[in-house]
Amino acid sequence: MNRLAGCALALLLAAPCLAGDASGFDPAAIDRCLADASTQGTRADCAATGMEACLDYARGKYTGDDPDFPMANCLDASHQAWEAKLTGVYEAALKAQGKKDNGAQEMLRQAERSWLQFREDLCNQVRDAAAEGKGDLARARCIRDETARQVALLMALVDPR
Amino acid sequence: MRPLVLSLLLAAGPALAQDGPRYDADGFAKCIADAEADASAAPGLRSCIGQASTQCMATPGGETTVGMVECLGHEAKDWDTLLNGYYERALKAAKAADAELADLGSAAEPAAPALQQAQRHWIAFRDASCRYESLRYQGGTLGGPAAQDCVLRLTAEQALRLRDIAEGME
Repeated sequence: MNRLAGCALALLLAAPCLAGDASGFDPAAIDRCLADASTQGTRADCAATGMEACLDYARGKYTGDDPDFPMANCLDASHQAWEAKLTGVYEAALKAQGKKDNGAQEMLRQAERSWLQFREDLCNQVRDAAAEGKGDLARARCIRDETARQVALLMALVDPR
Repeated sequence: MRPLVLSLLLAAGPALAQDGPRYDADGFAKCIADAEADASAAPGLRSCIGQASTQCMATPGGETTVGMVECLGHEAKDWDTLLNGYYERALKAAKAADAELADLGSAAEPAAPALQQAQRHWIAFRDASCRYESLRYQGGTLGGPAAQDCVLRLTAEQALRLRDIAEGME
């Protein structure tokens, strides 16, 4: 929240502002990584794909004095890309069930609900356990990593090797 | 050390009683121990996931549905034992930190109840995810290979998350 407020202010001052600017992040890099990965584990390892290029871009563009800003910006962009991926995989999983009504769809919805609660619990814990001042970044990384892991799980559940 | 010995006994039991596939509990323990010996243990530990059950499924009888379920179940149980150990460690450290903060009169969110809640939500997540898998393929029981594989992987991942949490708090 502080970052967003700071960013709105920066906009008023016409200073370069990166918050919400995902232009340094290439979501297609995630698709390429997933296409090359064949197992659930290696797909989850795609979590940080595209971060380096995004960080290079953000560091070059950001002129403010918050050293964590490029990382926060890229983690956000990366998380958004994974979230979009997750929505796609989840919708496909619901559809894959077709018209068969054996409770699988409802079970999948239940799994996603409890996963969301678990991700929240886990990443808040990670934030609280992080070093002073690093909590927000640690939480953002946790949310992104867990979202990637969930994409890998759903891909495996829908299409087991 | 005790849970490890117990799981070795459990794993050895069925192998003696019948001519099923051979699950190498020592191999699993060695994979974990070798990974732990490394300074950055996480990649090695992750690479242990599925190894022992895959080897087990390659032994005679391991390729049948019953054999697969047995092999996957053995490894899932081994990860579950590790998970419980890491959870106890994390909980102990969280309780100690909470007591320390309480002594200081801190209003910070206590860590132990948060850990317990996360674990409850994780169990609900695991059960629903793997039951979904079984509904797709096996009519809702958690007894088939796909569901066992799901349980194994989710349990292993959670064991490693809890390990990180415990290491971070100690």
